[in-house]
Amino acid sequence: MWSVNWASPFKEEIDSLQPASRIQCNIAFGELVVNFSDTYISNSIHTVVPVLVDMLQGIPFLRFDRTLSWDGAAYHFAAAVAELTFPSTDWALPDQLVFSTVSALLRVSNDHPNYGVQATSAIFDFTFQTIARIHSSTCKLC
Amino acid sequence: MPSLHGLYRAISSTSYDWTLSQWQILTSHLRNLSSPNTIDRLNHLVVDILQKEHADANTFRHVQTLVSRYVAQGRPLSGYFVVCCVLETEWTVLAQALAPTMNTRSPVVEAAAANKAWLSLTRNAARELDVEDEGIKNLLKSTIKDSMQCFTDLLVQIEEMEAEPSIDTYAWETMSESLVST
Repeated sequence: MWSVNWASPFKEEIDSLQPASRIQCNIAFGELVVNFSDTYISNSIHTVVPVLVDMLQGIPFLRFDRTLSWDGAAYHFAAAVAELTFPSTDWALPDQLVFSTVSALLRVSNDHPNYGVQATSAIFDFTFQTIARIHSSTCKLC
Repeated sequence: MPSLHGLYRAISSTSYDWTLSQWQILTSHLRNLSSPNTIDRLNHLVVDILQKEHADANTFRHVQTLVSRYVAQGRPLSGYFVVCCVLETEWTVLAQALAPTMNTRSPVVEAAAANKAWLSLTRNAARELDVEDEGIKNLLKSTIKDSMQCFTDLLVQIEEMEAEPSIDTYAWETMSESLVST
């Protein structure tokens, strides 16, 4: 059931431009995992975690499509009017992607502690890679 | 830099049963961001991108819009802001390693995990953790030292300037106090 077209960090894809739609798909996957019912997650945990881990580890090597179609203002306004409780602000795509993937990993391994090591070491690895990219001045603002 | 902001939001919002050694790893990575050089670099990043990369009109507009949207949300993408994120991320993880276990399921609210762990720590005694590892001990000590230093630096700056948002540093400072008493 989990067949998601996630951005894989395969060698030939490193530094290749990621279309915004693909990134949005990955963001949605993370959000889906965060909000899905426990039973579904438990049944497919062995595929969900590796996908999330792979996604997270690929992020520092992705080149993001330059898009500004995440404008928070309109969304914010809609949330205020409808008094909805979803996160009311949108951030840039890489920001959203990291947030949704890391949240999903934490949420899943909270319920399934035997995946904790895998999840947290992926997060640490991601942190390390991102910081290394900043130091090696290949960091892009977007 | 937006990626780091996403990481910070995720960790400070989702409760997780962190351990001290995980905190150690994370902190040792994040510390690399707090060096004066890096902060300077990040502070100048926007200008650098525009000047060095022969920015055309499109790039210029793109970067400007992106940055101004973040500023409008109260998140300037600067080196100083990153330090603030780093501190909050670190203490959130540490607080959850110290705080008694909490119910972890909750809707996604910004900084929920940080607030919850902090509340729990102020009301209950911290978990008794046998810290054996010398590395962790040293890191804990130097973190206390660093946060005190950061606090002092900020205080000096605030005295010189008008206003400086440093709520997180205050929280962190108190945090390290509670650590000493453990």
